[in-house]
Amino acid sequence: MHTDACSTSDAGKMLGVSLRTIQLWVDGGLLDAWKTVGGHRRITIASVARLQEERVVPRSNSVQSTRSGVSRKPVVLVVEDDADLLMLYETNLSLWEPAVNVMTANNGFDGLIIIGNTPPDLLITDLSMPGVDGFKMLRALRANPAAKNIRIAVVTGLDKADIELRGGVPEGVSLFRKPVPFESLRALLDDLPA
Amino acid sequence: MNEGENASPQNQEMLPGDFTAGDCRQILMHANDAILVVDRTSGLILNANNRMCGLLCHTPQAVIGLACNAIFVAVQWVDDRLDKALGVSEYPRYPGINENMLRLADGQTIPVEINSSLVNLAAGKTVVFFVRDIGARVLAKANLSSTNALLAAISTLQSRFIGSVPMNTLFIEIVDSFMSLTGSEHAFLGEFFWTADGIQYFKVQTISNALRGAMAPEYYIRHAPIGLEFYHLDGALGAIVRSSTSIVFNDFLHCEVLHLLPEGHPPIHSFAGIPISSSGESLGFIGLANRSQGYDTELLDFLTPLIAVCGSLISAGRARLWREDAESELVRQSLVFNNISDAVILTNHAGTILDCNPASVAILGVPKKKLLGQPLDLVLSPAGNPAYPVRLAIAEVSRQGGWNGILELQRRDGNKSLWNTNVLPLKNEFVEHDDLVWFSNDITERQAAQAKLAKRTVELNTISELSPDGFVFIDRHGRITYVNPAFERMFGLRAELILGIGLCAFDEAMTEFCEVVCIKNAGVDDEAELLTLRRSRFTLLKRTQRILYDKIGVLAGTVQYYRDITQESEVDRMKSDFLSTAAHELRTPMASVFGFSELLLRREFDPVKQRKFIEIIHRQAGQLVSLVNELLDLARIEARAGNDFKIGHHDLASIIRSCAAEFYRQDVGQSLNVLLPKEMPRVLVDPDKLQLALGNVISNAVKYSMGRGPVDISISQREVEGRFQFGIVVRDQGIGMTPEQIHHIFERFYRADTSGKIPGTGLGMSIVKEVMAVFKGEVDVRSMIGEGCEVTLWIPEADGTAEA
Repeated sequence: MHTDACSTSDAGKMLGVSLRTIQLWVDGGLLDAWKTVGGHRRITIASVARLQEERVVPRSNSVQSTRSGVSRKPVVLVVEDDADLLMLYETNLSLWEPAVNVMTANNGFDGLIIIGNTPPDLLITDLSMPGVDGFKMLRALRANPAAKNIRIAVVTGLDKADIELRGGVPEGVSLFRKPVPFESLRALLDDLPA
Repeated sequence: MNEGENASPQNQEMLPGDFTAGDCRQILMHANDAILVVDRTSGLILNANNRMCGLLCHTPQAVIGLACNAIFVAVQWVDDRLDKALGVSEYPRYPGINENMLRLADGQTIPVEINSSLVNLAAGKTVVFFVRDIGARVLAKANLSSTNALLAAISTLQSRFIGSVPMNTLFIEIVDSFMSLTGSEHAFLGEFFWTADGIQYFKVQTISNALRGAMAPEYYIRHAPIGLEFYHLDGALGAIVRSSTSIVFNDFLHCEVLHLLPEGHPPIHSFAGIPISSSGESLGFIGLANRSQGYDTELLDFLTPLIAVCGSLISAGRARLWREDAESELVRQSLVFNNISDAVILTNHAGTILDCNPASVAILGVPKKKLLGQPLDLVLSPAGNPAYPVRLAIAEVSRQGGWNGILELQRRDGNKSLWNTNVLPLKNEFVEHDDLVWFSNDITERQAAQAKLAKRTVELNTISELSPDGFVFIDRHGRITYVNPAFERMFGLRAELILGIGLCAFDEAMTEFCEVVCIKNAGVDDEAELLTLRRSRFTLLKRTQRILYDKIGVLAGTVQYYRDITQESEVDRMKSDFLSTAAHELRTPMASVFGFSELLLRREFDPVKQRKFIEIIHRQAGQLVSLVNELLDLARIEARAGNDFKIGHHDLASIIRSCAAEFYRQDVGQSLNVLLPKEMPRVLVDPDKLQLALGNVISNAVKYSMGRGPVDISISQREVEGRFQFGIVVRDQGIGMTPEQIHHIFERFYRADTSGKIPGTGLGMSIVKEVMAVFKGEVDVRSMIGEGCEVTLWIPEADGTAEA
């Protein structure tokens, strides 16, 4: 009946990610799927195509970024689609004391990939982004136990009412409104366990 | 007889009227009267004649010397006589009562009449008693009085019957009469009846009080099948009660029917059973018991008149009952006839009215006497239509034995009413042709209601056929009975697939066939749900369910109502999207301006970086400028609704050029070609607003070009309904639009690209449309996906007159 569907392994091949990532994305609602009578997961081609489309957006530089994971410097991932703001973040964060490792992504899709590779200590994300927006990304993270320890802060141009309308942010996530409150973000780092 | 003592000296002479002693003796010896001579003083009997002795059954020797008190029972009377003789009392105490009882030798007593005289005899003062046996007379008197009693009883019973005393009371009185006339201790009376199946049974109607006081009544009630009714008349009991002659048992204790008496029954010594009949028909039976002297035929003969009267009374009583039943049956029937609301008319075979009930009179509005004797068809249809069904009905009845059809009656108020009529023949052996009975009941209301219902059904069917919303009707058993065409369209289903299936199957079908993704409650209205159809195009349906009850509150069915609210919800969604987009769009550049200026204030950066930062500030500030302007434009147009447009004649070329110049200035790396003819028309427009609209169009063309080619601006013209229109054509080589996107392009807040890659608020084209509408122009959009887009703004030619 649903001929416009594929298996999880097919989806993984099409998107170039592991089965586990596909699983995460399904759980987080980034891919539309259902279970057949026999218990096999089927994913709609349409949602795969949608994700594929979003990959046309230039990949963030940080995807191939530093694996200097041995360093004890806290890792901060900033996900923001506005290039200027991203530069603002990078500039500001590089001035922070103690120093932090800054990684950036300009959409939620890439953000999730980075988190999958190197879970950051602090994630700062926008909400309205094209493709996999902040909401979807946060939901995907919530479904992922490995992301439990990531401190998350949202910096958004949306009003609180709009945020609620679109499902709100998960518990434990700090919410800030633009312009970016760098001092408050900096303070979050102090709370992190050593 | 002792001659000597009776001699008297007076007897020596023979005077006339004298008797010789011998004569006296002879006379005395042969006198019929019994004579007794009693000594006055002692009361002893001195002498008695033959007759006396014979009466006493004593020998003379036994009698003489007895005290006369010994042979008379009422001794006071005797004493009184003796006293009188002695002259003790002046007035006899029992004057005129000469009756007494004589005690005979064997102890019996017989009634006698006694006269006495004082006679002085040789023996002294004596009282001579002349005794006469009045036994026969007494008997005769007793017979007479009992006959009188019998006759009295008979006439009493008859007059009671005439006085319409209830039969039960009469039976009691009959039994009482029998008991007192015969001196019986117990009595019962019963009647013979026949059941509907032809079985004879005996019902005891009444029993004497003595029996009732004893245990016997319980016996009757316990042993009889129904109350005091006895159905087994085959045995000895039956033989007794059905015999046509009387039965007597004087030695009941030893008779063969003793076993018929149950335990506890009072002892019966003698019994007489007397059948009662009338005109040869056996009607009943009377039983008498325990007469002290027993029963004999003489007594039964004596009772014969009374028995006969009983027979006739019972017979008459039954006749009276039948008559009363018949009368009350008649009363009941005439009640029905007179009170039912249906019309009942009796006619003869030719249709002439013989009788009619009050209902028919009321309906026809004609007094009964005017109806009788009239032909029915004339009464019902005064116009005298020969084809009227009455004639047909009559013919049909004689052929088929009945007719049923609808008659039209002209009502009193002039309206016609329809009557469902049944005609039946009335079998009557006294007339040659059967009479006819016409039963009619009014179905006018029913017909009208049915017509109304049919009309309403047609209306409802039309509504549901034409309605753009889907309807589903489910009956009280949960089966789908109807789906309208709109529903079929909504879900892409054919009605045949769904009709008749149950509710569970229906829900499943909805999920399967229609790929329903989710069902969630609409919130406010508890019975409404939102269904999202998974299709190429997002479709949102609102389903409302209502349960139907009939007039008495019983579940009649359910109606489901499906409304496509995709548009409404999209508009809502788009509106809220706009606000959140606008907020975001404003805040993001603000964040840059603020953030970089804050950074610059905080510390020194190298000149390159510094310049970069300032450039960013400047750029973003510029973006803010556009955004704010656009928002304000929209707000102003909405608020003022075109009232502040300054319309005047202007040169189109200069407007286009200055508009295009804006875009050159912005230096977005997109080439813009303006091709205008030498001669440019003047148009009646507000130049600022036109520039605004054109600017939006060009801005879109540039945005969606994505570097795939230049944007060309040219002029076109056309004629519409005799008027010229000039068109500003803006053509780009960009990604183009789908028909769906073109369809929505003028909608407020509609964004063809929702990915956010292309900035905008979705208001541009709607502003354009509003502006062109004020100019009485139009906007055309033509595009194919992947092949760019062409937007034309049509402005009517200025006709020389300045429009306000």
